[in-house]
Amino acid sequence: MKNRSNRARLVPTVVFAFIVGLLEVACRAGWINRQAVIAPSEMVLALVAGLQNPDVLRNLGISAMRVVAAGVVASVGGFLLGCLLRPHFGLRRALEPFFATYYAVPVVIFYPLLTLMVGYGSLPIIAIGVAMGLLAMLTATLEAFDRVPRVLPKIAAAHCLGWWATALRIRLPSAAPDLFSGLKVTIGYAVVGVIASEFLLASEGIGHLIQDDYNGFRTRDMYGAILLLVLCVLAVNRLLRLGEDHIRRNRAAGFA
Amino acid sequence: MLSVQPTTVHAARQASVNAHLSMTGVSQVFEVGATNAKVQALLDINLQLRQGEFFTVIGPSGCGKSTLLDLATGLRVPTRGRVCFEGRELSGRVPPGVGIVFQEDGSFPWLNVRDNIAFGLRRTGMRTAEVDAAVDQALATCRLHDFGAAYPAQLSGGMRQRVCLARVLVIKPRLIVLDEPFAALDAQTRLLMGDELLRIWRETGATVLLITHALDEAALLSDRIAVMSARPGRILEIIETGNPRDRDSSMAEQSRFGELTTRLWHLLRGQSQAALEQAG
Repeated sequence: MKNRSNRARLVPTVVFAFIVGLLEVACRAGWINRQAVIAPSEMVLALVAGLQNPDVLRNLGISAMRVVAAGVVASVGGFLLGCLLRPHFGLRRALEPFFATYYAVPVVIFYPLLTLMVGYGSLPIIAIGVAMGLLAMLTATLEAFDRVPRVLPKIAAAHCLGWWATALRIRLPSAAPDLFSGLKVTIGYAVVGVIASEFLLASEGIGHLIQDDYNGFRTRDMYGAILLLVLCVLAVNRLLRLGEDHIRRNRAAGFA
Repeated sequence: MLSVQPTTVHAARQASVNAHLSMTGVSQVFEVGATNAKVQALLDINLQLRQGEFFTVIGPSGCGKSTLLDLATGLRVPTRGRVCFEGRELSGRVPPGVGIVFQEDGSFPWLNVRDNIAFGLRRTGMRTAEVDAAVDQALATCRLHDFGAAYPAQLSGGMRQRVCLARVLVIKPRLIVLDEPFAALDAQTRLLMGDELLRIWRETGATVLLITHALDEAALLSDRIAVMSARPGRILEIIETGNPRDRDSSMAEQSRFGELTTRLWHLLRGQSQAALEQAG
């Protein structure tokens, strides 16, 4: 049983290694144009070079700061808006079409408009990141609290818990796993919003750096920066995954 | 022969000064749907529960049993009438000394069994050592000694209900109210849980109010059984079972058990059909 589980875990690694190997061979053999894609080993070398370049690190730091700001505002704002909206079922029903179509229109298209409104720099980029992530957290909050079993608030009432105590000791812990899932998606959207905005018009940030390398035909540097970005996102995702696993750890049926 | 002594609604109306829990002329009306149509859920309920008795309310589906529980515990204020616990009228808050076990699994999945049981105590400002001692005692009473560190997801449905019962017992309630607590369990586990409940009832000396739709459960466990009508819920009859105090599920082998369940079914059959027609 354990062997089968280990084998199942190995499959994605083997598939990933195979694809990387195939790409390496295809690039080295000249089957793929070097101006389009470079070999994975070269990407790693470009990454190492990038990590020694203060300009790359500075741009990465700027992007990270923007993602953190956008992520925090979107998460906290989405959570608070969700809490405020939750009891108003009529308003929620009225907003449903808006929620359903929100992601159909890419928010990034409003970036030029935002620069006109709030100026050039980090603020419009963070605003795009917030706009991307806010609704994900808001809807996750609504769903998370809707899913709290109806018996739990009754138990709170049976223990004479007030509104705040019920919210903090019963509703919040019960909703925590779904809220954390929403947080993961929100951070993901914030990353997409910030990097996509930097691609468009920004003068700094890792997105801008990638775009600049692309325009200047510096393919090697571009892939080094992309790899750096991918690794950073994977690291953040892994951290969030660990947090989610921690919250869900004791709740899965038969986890022992 | 069956030794049950049926009493009438009129007998139940007699005001009892010594009643542990009393419901006098209680009615409940709900407003439902967009038009706020009025639905009479309960009509003129009169009940007096004696100190330390095991009292069961049985009735067809949708007759207002759970509403009656909400009113009896102070979770809801009746549209009309009075509900008193130990002589004090309830006013929309569960009074101290009342513990409730609900039909649904009410264990907190984020807390282990010990913390689940200690939940109510930790709010009282009790010292940690005292809380631990009380939790140990509740774990022993509910036969959960080896599962203090386990989480609800690791337990069976019956064990989770025992955790909920232990969480109620730990606050030393004088009235334990149970809303179909074994409804989600299989037949054998229900019988065994019934035995456990009887043992706990004898050990604690608390008054028990059990809400159920299971005839066998009512016949086995109760000192008295109130039979409710289909909506609007009224008390049709209160039956003294004459069960001995040290009873258990082995009573199911006795002929009086069959006679009692037959009598209950005779009273409930027409009401259940009426409830089905209402639902249809």
